[in-house]
Amino acid sequence: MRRDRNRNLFALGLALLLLGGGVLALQGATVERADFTFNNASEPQSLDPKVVSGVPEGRVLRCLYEGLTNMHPKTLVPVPGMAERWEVSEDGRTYTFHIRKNARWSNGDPLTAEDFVYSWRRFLDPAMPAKYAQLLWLVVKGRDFFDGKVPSAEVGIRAPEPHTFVVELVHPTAYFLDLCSFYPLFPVHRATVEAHPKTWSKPRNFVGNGPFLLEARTIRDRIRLRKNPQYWDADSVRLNTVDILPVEDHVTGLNLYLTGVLDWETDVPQQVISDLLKRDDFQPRAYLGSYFYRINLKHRNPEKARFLSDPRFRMALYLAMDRKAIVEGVTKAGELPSRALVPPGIPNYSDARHQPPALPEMDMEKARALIEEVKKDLGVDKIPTLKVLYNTSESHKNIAEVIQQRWGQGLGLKIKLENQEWGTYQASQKALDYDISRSAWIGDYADANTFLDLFVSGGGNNHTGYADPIYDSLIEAAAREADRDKRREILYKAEEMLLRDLPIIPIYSYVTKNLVRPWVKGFYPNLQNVHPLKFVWIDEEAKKNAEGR
Amino acid sequence: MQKGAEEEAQVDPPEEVESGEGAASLGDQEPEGFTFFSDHPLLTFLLKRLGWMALTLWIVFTLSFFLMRSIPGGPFDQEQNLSAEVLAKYKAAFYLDKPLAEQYLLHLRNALTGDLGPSYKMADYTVNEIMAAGIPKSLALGVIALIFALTLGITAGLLSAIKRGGFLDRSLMTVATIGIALPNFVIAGILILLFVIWIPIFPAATWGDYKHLFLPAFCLGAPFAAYVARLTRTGMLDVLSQDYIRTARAKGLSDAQVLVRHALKGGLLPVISFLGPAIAGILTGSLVVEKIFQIPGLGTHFVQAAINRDYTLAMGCVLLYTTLVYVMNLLVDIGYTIIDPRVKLE
Repeated sequence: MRRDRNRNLFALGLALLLLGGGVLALQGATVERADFTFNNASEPQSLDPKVVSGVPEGRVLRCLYEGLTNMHPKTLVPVPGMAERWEVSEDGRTYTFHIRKNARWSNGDPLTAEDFVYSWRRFLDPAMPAKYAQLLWLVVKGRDFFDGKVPSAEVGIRAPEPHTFVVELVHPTAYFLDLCSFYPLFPVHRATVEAHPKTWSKPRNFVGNGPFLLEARTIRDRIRLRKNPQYWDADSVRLNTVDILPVEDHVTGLNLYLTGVLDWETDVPQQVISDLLKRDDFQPRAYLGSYFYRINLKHRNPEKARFLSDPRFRMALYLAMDRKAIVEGVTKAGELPSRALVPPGIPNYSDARHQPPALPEMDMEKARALIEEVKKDLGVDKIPTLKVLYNTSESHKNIAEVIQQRWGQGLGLKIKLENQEWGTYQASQKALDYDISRSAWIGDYADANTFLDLFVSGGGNNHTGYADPIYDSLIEAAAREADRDKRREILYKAEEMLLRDLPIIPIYSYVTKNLVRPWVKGFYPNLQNVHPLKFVWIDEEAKKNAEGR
Repeated sequence: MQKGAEEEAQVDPPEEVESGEGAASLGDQEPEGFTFFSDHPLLTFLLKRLGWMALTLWIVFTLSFFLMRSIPGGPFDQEQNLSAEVLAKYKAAFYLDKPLAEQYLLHLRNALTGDLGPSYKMADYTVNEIMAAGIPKSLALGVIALIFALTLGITAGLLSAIKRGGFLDRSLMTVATIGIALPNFVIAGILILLFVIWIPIFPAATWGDYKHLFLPAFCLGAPFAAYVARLTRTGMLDVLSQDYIRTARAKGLSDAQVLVRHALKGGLLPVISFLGPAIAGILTGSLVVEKIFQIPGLGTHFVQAAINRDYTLAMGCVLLYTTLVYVMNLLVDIGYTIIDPRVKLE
């Protein structure tokens, strides 16, 4: 009998444990719906501007902080932020920012120029610099301080008065004001960072200076923001609460959007694009990104190197690539076939009024002729099998298949496709352990330099082995040139060179893939796909009408 | 405290440790409430198993440590925007520039003190914080999945066994076979289409109230329910053909009484022994389901940690899974001796 009782007790205990566990875990999980919910597609690496380097982090940080300048929500040109106005010296090297007098931290502390001095020095801190530290090498002695050669006091960042912040640059930089609105350069609250070195970015400690406060954050679940009453422009902020979800799977994200949980989904699954295009709330627009193939110019295999390092061979690859078939048959969201690296739409470079260098259209005849020419010159009949490397993804695969087919049938090349998981693929690309590799680049700021300086000799993201001192000097000269028109011409020359030497084969330029509810207002399409929530609001009337239907 | 003290006190007499039989008979004379805890074989058994667990964890730690680092690409190599100089400093800050053996010893030492370090990819959190946030969610999901698996499985198995060979039996077993064969992401897709898009009664994903757990838990539990159904059916059929069941029937007991009071206990034994692997499977099998339904549990963290080369977090998850699976199996082993007197701890 005792066995029986033990047995029953055991069963009962198990059942209670199971139920209790379930109930306990669910407690406090329900939250009321926020005014605005969007999918950020990934858990931010951090809320510390110093530690971040990605698009999802930018979306969150722009809510919590504000830089010296802000981006205009439509045009993205720099508009006053923490600095209400600024002056630039005649040589274009000294910027004097006047911090607004009513600038405050979310705990009520006044925000002064000292805060920027502290934050930007912290950004360059030789012991633990920001991930984007190289941005402030633009500042006098910035690089030296980063390298530990000079003390922080020598860096060209000063606060001569509480509300005056002065920056001295090594050379005039056309996009410096844009950089001031870039999220890694946002200021942090010194007292909080120093009081809680490891936990200051947690909701219980967090102090920011942006339009929203950090109310709650649960890992890979949600970030809840609330309007910051201390914000200098709080009157313009119309959303009271915002939820940010980190849903990585875009099918799940789409389900959430379709069932009304999300107001904004930042990307959509490739398979459903044709269907989504029929909807009013899905309107792809030009995006500051390029999709291209890298070619390994320093291949270790001499057989392959002979071909890959011959510019005529690379030009043949370019000419035989059917970019139209790719954008119409595979990507389908209105991407534009590219004949250059820098995408269209960049002000004063590739906008409507300017004509940047471009390659010719597809030309099979010429491509074949070039291949024959190369074969003849090298005295070989057979070209070794080449591998196209891509990171595992259905659309990269489909694109590679189109290219494989054209290069195979059109040029008689043997092409193999090879996919690798993201981390491995990145490592292969970095180590130049590939023949031809799928690549892409999203610009950090709306300037051609963010694309062109990738391919300077030894550049951290070059990954092609391309090295030409003339190209390097052009990029360098453009950086030093204060005159916009002259600078543009220099950059044109650089891109021309790049398109002549073709370490990369342009394929298409990106489009944005936002799904946005029709009643979300103040959300404007723009080249960088940046949508500051400060300006976003909900048209309740439109929402009611739409939901009533 | 008292129980613990008693356990300590009872360790000494050697003859009891040696013979399980002796201990059990001794245990019979103990005051009722304490019998379970003062059984010496249990204590020895636990100590032995914990020793093995420590060894297992160390082996898992070592293997994982070197396997992880043998894959190309490190935690910071994937961030394209980092300049070489910055990358070098980040690697140094996380010891990634040190020789592998030195890194191993550093991490092992920290792990022994319970400090698994910060997450490389979620810099605002330590690995311990991330896991502490993930465990209750995965556990809730697992518990509900298990409840589904057991209630649905046992009910279906019982019905099948009673109506053996009939239409109900055949259809239930067909469903069970399909249930075992279908991967849970397929089940998830079908359920989402049915109950989220067409008949919107459940939320599509994310963490929230019980409604948010229904579909993922069902998907996670379904293959196990199917398995439990088959096990129950086999077990019941086996028991129902025994002599003592015939005796019970001969005594004039009703079918229901025979089933519940006599057959069920024996018939469910195979299910109990399946509980160990099932719990382990549910806990570690939640990776896909958590991703589809955006449940911020351990599975999601584990998969992302692997993709991101977040060594510390991946290690934390591996160790935690090892511990969970080990402990669950241990509990099931102990539970089995309670349910089935023929089984002894050793």
